[in-house]
Amino acid sequence: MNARDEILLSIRKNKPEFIALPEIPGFEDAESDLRAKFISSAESSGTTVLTNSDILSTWIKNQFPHARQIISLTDEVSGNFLMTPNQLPSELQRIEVAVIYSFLGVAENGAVWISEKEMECRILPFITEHLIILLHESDIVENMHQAYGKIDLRETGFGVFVGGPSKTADIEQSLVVGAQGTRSHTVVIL
Amino acid sequence: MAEIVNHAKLAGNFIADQNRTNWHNEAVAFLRTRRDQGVSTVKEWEQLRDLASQIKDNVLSNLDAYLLQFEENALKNGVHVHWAPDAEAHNQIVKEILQRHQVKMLVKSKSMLTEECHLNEALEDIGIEVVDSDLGERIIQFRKEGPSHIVAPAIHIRKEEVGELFHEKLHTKKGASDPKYLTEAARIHLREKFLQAGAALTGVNFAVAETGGVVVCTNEGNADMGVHLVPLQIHCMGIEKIIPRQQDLGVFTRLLARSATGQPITIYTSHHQQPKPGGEMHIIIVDNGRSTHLGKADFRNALKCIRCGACINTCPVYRRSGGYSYGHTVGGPIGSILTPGFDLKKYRELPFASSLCGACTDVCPVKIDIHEQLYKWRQVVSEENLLNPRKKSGLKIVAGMLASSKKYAIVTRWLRVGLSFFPFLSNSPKLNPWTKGRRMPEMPSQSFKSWYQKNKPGKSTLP
Repeated sequence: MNARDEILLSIRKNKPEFIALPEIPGFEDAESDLRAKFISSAESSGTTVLTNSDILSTWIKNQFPHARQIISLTDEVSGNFLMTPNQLPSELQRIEVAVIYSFLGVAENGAVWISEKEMECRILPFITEHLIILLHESDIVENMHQAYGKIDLRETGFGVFVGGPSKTADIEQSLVVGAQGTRSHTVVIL
Repeated sequence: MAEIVNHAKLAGNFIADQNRTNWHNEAVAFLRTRRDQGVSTVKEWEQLRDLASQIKDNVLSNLDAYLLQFEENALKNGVHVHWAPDAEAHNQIVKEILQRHQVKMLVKSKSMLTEECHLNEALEDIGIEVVDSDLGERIIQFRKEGPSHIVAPAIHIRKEEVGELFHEKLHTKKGASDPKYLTEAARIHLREKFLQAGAALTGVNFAVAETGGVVVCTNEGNADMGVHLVPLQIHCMGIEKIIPRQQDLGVFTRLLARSATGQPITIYTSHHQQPKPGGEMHIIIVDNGRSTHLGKADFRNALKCIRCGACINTCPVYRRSGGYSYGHTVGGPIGSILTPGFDLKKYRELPFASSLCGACTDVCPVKIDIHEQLYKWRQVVSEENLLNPRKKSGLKIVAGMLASSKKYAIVTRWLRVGLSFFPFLSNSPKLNPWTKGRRMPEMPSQSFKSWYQKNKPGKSTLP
């Protein structure tokens, strides 16, 4: 008997009687101010939230005056590094700023969804030192139930909810921002 | 026969350093406090726990069908699916994949399953370098230790010790112990490794039957830095990681990080569906004793665990005995109910490493009846005649005494007399191990029974 059948047989022998799946309610709160809630959750996870997109290019220049490699996959900002269709991920190791769209933000935790379509190269939102996300206010939903209701994982090869800059507390529980991924995370609400 | 994990003895080694014990207790309790703060912001928290528990009930009752559905969908996504009945088979599969691609260095993100399987040693034996990329895991890997906590693997180590270690391994400044400085040094070191590696391996938080994809949660971004820089990615999962539908992720992602650290969601919740363009993606489904555990009606609920660590952080015993006192990758209350199912003889002491206070059950996001299972495991240990002989004879004597009021009256009367002449006897840890680190209360001059006989209504002078 092969390994697969061996495992399946053992499960069939040992599993309990069938128990039905529950229905999952949406836990919506009609009163909720999604924009305010999103901003407050995002900020408490160490995300910078900008609400004035007109000054974005100036803000980036001021914030990252020495940035040599900037990728923008958005119309609002222009970068200086163009990715190729078959971009080698390791060639992105010196990217300092990446600007990417997200079409889904979650108010309860300040996270944004980025799929392969928006990031183009999977390593980009992780390897860049600083990540800037452009998000339309109308794309903010209340919680993770609505968020998973809006996407279909089967349509993408890879997708990620990003909830802030990378962080660790592995040394004596001291929170340090900028672990292996981004050092800063900014969401611009359009 | 496997060596018995002697929790009391191992805990004794840990608490020999009282300052460290106190510090460890507070460091772990801090996580519990953060969890409480995070949970308090979600008014439907209890409802979410119920849902998570019910979803997992369904999963366990239909596990074979979900695994097949998962496999079918993963294959459609272009993923290679492997099945491993035990740790050895799992390690063999990883070896073969890596050898086929002539991989010299593997970057790994946190995976308790591969710790359980001792994968690192198996790969190093054939000359493959393994780099654990989670900061805490890298620290313990440098120290040649296993994790002492499933979420915070290096929680038992002081920053000064990390400073010394990094000075030796990463040439940081001597005496430097600032966590920010040390984390930066690790970031630079690990970026180099990510770029040199030939393959990446991760654990799995959730595997979705409906989509055929796996979900991996990290805060550091190390799993993604590993996976997306290399052509070859491997994800290893226990059979119990399956959840049925995409929408079930809504329930579990809301529970996991809040239970673990109080965060509303982990920084990165990554959904790996298909290999990257030109890349290869493997998923290894591992049993290693889980399907047998599924057959134990009283204990199967332990397989619902999502490895958040909340029960560990709240446990008064774990906090003071440290993760290594459990002798297994998964320690604390959840480890104490899982491990006897895998090897009862070896882990027979662990169900006793608890005060049965029930705090673990209260915080469990999937509502595992942890403290009840601890109690039931004690009975199994006793029924299997595996009780520690001293405990067994003690319990036998006490049981005989408590079963007869005559015997009880005689014994307690003589104890009262005896101890009034030789009070040190009851406080001698050698005669009475209970008094290690604590004192017996003063023996009252009369028993409650004799007091009541004198004072009961009718005879009483009390109002």
